[in-house]
Amino acid sequence: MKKRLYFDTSALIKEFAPEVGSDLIDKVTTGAREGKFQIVSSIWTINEAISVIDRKFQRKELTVVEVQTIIATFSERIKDSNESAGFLFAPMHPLIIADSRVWIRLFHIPPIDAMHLYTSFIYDCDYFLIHDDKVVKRVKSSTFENMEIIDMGNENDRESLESHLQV
Amino acid sequence: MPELIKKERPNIKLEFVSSDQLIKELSELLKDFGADPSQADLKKTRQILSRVSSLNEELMSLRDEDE
Repeated sequence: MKKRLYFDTSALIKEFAPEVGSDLIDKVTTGAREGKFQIVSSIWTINEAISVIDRKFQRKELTVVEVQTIIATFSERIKDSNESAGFLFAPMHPLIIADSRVWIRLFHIPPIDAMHLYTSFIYDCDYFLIHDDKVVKRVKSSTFENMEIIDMGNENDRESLESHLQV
Repeated sequence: MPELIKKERPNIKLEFVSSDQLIKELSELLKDFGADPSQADLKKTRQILSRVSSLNEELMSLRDEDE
């Protein structure tokens, strides 16, 4: 069975913006397009990514045409990857929302992070990729059956994932 | 905090958003922004986003507000 990786929004945006870990995300998304892995995310990731771009526009860091370029690129990349079955989106099912509530209290994390983490877990993802120090700090001390948390801000975690995936 | 989180099957059928539905949603998204698929350019997008402040920090700030 193909390795399955969950992209938190903080991981997804690294494909489009050069940041720490973007090289690894490139390798993973390329591998997914080649059919080596499967990437899973929540459909909510699209909303969060758009919101981040919109905030940059509101602050006048981006022009209308630049936003259009980003949105068009984002949309086409997701469409292409989805068509090759390399990138799949989980719906925000009411029961996922309800069941993830337990993890808010369990890990003391915000609801949106609990939803991402819980979705990754129940969709049998082998790796949960995130770049969020606060969340990582709260969940890293736990062991998730058949799922590893990859802190994209941590060089050792990135190297470990590269080695596991052989990318 | 628990040390081991064990798998428990949720009481729902785990499905993915269908390609048709996703394509429909992405088309609507393009329309909302007045964008066209022909504007898609990964290299250009990366150039644009390399000169703005960190997207990850913006996301963290967004989530802090939601919290």
